[in-house]
Amino acid sequence: MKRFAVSVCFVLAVSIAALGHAHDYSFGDIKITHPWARFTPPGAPNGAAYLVIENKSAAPDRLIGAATPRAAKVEFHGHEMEGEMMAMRQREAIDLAAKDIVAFEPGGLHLMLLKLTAPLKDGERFPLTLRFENAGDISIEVVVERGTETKSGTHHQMK
Amino acid sequence: MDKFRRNPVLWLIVLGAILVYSVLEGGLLGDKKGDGTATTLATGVGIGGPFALVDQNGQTVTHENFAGKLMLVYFGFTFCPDICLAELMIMGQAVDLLGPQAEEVVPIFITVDPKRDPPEKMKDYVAAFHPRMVGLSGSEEQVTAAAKAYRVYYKYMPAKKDGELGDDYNVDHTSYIYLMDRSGNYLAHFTKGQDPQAIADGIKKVL
Repeated sequence: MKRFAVSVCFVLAVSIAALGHAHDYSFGDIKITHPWARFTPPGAPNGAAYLVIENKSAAPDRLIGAATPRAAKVEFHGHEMEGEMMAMRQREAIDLAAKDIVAFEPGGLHLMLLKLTAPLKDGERFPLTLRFENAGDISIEVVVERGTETKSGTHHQMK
Repeated sequence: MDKFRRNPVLWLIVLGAILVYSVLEGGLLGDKKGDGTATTLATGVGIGGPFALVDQNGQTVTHENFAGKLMLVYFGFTFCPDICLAELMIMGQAVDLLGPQAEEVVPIFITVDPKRDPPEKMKDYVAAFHPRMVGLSGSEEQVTAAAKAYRVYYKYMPAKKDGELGDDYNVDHTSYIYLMDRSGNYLAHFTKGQDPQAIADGIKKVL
């Protein structure tokens, strides 16, 4: 029954997304908001996808893997400042505390899509499966956007 | 990796980066408006200067090719999926927001990864961000010299910690959009995630 409910939610979510409205997915206690990837220019072998994960459960969970047919491999990467440099570092898993929200966003934590099968085209949609330790596998659809969306709260002008 | 650890040029770049970082951080702390105003840093910082690189059409170009125009310069690499794409998008949009004055500004992307970004690869890549964006690569020596002139620091990092460099390495790098005047001198720089309109407004003030 639960699986059926999840399926209904998935179909509803995809339908809503297809209509161009809110692009959210809810699977049991996990809510995924606005999964998108930036378009990639020809010659760029890798891409990045972004989304917000909310764990509504009173129990913690962990994001332990991700996969898409559009890339050879999906990894979790965070940006850290090493002195003045942007240093991209892989994370094996992403911890989700109880009632926690984790944002993957430009210039921060992102899903790195390694060895894209072809450049990501603006407006394209592609499937992405997220693997959670407790919630299991969750399949969503990612929308490709040109996007100049950037991490909020870091808008400094240096002189 | 040892090659990089023992390379005195790279260590000079590190020292330069630390020095410039101190100056730039001072500038950041001094700014309370955050409105995208481009103003001149204290003189003597010395960001920019002569360079000789190879453009996306295979032609050798130097700073002199851009004399008379303002330059927006970003250093990155095409394997970079997140920050470089974001910054180049912002740069392209900022130029378009200048309207008829856009012709006065040349957006330039310089790779810090010439091994994987040969000039021919840059052509379609830069065109995706702006039809007039120039993509510059060159020999390792040429790129090292250009990065040094702009006080850009970069370091090749193996994809797996303590692994071999291989072909799938990352590049840690400084991420600023530099605004240079019509003689190639430094005017201002923009940190990551700026609003394209704020950058365009900053450019308009010096046009």
